[in-house]
Amino acid sequence: MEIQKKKEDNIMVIAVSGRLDAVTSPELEKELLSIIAEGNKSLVLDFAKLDYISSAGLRVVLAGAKKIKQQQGILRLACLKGVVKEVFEVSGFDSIIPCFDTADSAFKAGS
Amino acid sequence: MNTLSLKAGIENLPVFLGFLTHFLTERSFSLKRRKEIEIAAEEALVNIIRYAYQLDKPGDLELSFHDKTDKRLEIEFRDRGTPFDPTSMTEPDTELSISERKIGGLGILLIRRMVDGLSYRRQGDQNILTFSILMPEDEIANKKGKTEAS
Repeated sequence: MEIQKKKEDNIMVIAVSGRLDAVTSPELEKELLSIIAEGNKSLVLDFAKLDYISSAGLRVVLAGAKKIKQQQGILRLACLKGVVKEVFEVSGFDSIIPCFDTADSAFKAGS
Repeated sequence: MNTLSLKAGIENLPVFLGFLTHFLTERSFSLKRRKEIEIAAEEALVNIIRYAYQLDKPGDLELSFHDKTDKRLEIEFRDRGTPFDPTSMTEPDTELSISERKIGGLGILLIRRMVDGLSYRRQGDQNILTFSILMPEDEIANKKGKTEAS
């Protein structure tokens, strides 16, 4: 798994590539929590290059969404595809966390 | 070699999943199907790794593959830990909001959606969880063609 961060117009875009499984998820959780602790309130998780996600990955996304909500911020998801999209649909997470086709549209959805 | 037995530790998760992926690739499963089955297997393996044994006394975990018929194969997970039937777990309510939503039960939900059949039995001191998986259509057709030709 690889995490790349980019901040533009006060929106933090976190691009995650590779695998989000029970072994790699704690690393993303740590990163997300520290980004939120730094005071960022608008986050986009860009999953365009994410190939695999299990419930351990969903757990981190949910924890991030809950944490940012407590801070009156918002977490959006971008570019769910293939089996990653399927896992979000099966779990119902695609209806509780706003999902967008591209990082750009997630970005422009307003805050 | 259709069986892999290792200590039930999280460090062995990639080894188990690599073993599974190798097997599924040999059987011509599509990339999408391989990933779906891998996700279900990760959920089953992690469950055993986290809950079957006491932390200071990790026991063994055995993953094995069995060709049942031309159309179906079984993936079996065995441990000698605390009796636990994952098929008895209730599925989470997927309609709840972010604040109400709990994480528990998601693993079993993913397993149920990704495999074609799921069963559990306790045999002696072992928990045995079995996934039933339908073989890829073209693999079945291929085998059938070979049988008819011979």
